[in-house]
Amino acid sequence: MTTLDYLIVVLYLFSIFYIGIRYRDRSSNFTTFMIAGRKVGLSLGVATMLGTELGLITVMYNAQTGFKDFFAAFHIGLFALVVTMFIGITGIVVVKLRELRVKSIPEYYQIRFGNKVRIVGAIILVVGGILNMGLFLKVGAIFIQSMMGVAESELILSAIMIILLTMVLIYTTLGGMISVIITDYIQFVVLSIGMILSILFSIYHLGWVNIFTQVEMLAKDSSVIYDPIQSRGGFYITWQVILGFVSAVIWPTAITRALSLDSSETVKKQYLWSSVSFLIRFMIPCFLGICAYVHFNGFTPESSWEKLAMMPRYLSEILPMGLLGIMAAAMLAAFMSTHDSYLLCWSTIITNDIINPLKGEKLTSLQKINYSRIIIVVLGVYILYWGLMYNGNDSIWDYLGITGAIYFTGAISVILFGVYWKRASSAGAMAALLGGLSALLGLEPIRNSLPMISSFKPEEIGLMTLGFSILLMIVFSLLIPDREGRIS
Amino acid sequence: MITWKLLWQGLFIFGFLFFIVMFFIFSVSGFHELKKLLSNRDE
Repeated sequence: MTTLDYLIVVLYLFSIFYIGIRYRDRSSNFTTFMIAGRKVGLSLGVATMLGTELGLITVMYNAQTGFKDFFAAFHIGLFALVVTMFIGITGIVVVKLRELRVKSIPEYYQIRFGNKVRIVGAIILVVGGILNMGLFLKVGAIFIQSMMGVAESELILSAIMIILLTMVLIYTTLGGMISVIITDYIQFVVLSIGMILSILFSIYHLGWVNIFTQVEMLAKDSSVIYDPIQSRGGFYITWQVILGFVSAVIWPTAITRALSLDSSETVKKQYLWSSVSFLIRFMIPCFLGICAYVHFNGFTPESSWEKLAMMPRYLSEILPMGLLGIMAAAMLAAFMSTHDSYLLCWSTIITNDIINPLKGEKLTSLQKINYSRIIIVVLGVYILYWGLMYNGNDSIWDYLGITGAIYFTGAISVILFGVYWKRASSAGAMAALLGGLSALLGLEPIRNSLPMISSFKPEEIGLMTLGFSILLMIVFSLLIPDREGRIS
Repeated sequence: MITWKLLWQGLFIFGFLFFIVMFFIFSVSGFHELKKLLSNRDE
C-alpha cells in the first residue's frame, strides 16, 4: 500500500470515530441503545442490514468458499435470496415478533413459555453467539496483514488484533444502536463503492470469459466447478437452505434490525429488498475468491488460514493506488460495523434477558446501559483469547454454521412451534433449547477427539441436531403440556 | 454443466446490476432517514 492509501484509511477511521462519538449522547435510554427506539425506516433498514451482514468476516469466508468451491458455491447465495424473499412475502415469524414489540428473541420466549425458558434460551443464545464471533478478530487481522503486505508472524498478527479490538471497543461502548446504525450506513456506502469497483476492475484485469476458461483449465476436477450437488452433496445443500433461513429470520443481529423498524409492514418490505442483499453478500466475495484463484494460477495452499489470505493478497496486487486505500478503509469499516453490531447484540441480550430477569426486572435504563458496556469489554477480551488459541482447520463458513447451530437449532424449533403450534409447551421449549447444545459436537477439535463422530461432516451433525431438537420439542410438549394457556 | 454455468452467470449479472441500483436508491434515501433519526433526540 502507498502513502495515499494509508492516508485514506487514517482519514476514514478518524471520520467514523468522530461521527460515532459525536452522537453517543443520543443513547441515554436502553430501548434506544438496543434497538434505536424502533424508529428506523425502510431505506435505512435495508442499507444498515447490508452494512451488518456484509462485514469483513463475510467477505473473507465467502471469498475462501469461492476460492475452494468455485462457482458451485453460488448456490449458497441463491438459497439465501429465495429464502429471504419467502420471509419478505409471508412475514413468517418476523412480523409476529415485531407485532409483539419484543426487543429480542428471549423476550418472546418469556411471553410464550415463561421466565425460565427466557433465561436458559438467552444463555444458550449467548454461548452459541460468542463462540460464533470468536474468530472474527483473527480473520480481520489476517485481512489487514495480507492486504497491507505486513510480514507474516504470530506476534504481528496479535498486535493487529489488539489494535483492531481497542478501536472497536472504544467505539461500541461509547455508542449504542444509533452509533451502530451510523457506522453501518457509512459502511454500506463505502463498501458498496469498494466492492463494485473491485468487481469491475477484476473483470477488466482478468477478462470475463477468461475467468471461466481459466477455472475450467486449472481446477483438478472440472465436474465440481459449477454443479453444487456433485461438489458438496445433498446434506451440505440442505444445510445451506436452513442456514439461509435462520440467518435472516432468527439470527439475533438480523432480527434486532427488524425489531428496530417502525412497523410490521416495513419489516416485510425490508426483507424483500434484503433478499438481494443476502444474495450479493455471498456471491460478490465468492467471485473475488475465484478471481484470486485465477490470478494465482490455481495455487492452493494447504492450510485453511492461508486460503483466507488469498483474496486480500489478490486485491493488493491488482487494485491501483487510491482504490486500494478505499477498499482497505471499506473493509476496516466492515470489520468495525460487524463487531459493533455483534458486541452490542450479545451484550444487550445478556443484560436484558439474563441479568435483568435474575434481578427481578428492577434495573434502570442507565444501569442496563452500564452493564452492557462492561459486558462489551469482557466479550472483547474473550474474542482476543479465542482468536489466539483456536487452531481448527475447518473452513470459516463451516465453523460459523456449526457454532451458530448451538443456538439456532433449538431456537428455530421453539419459535416456529411456539408461533404456529398451540400445544407447544415450556417443557418442550426447554428440551429443544438444551438439545441444540449437541451441535457443540460438530466443532472440529471436539469432533476429532471423539472417534464415534469423527467421520461426520459439520453439516451432517448440524442437521442431526436440528432433527433432535424438533423431536424433543414435539415429544416433551405432548408429554408435559403447560397447565394454563399462554399467548399463542 | 452448461446449465449450471449459465445459471450462475445469469445470477451474478442480475445480482451485480441490482446491487448497483440498490446502492443508488438506499444510499440517498437512507441518508435522509439517518438525518431525520439523528434530529429526533430521545431526551
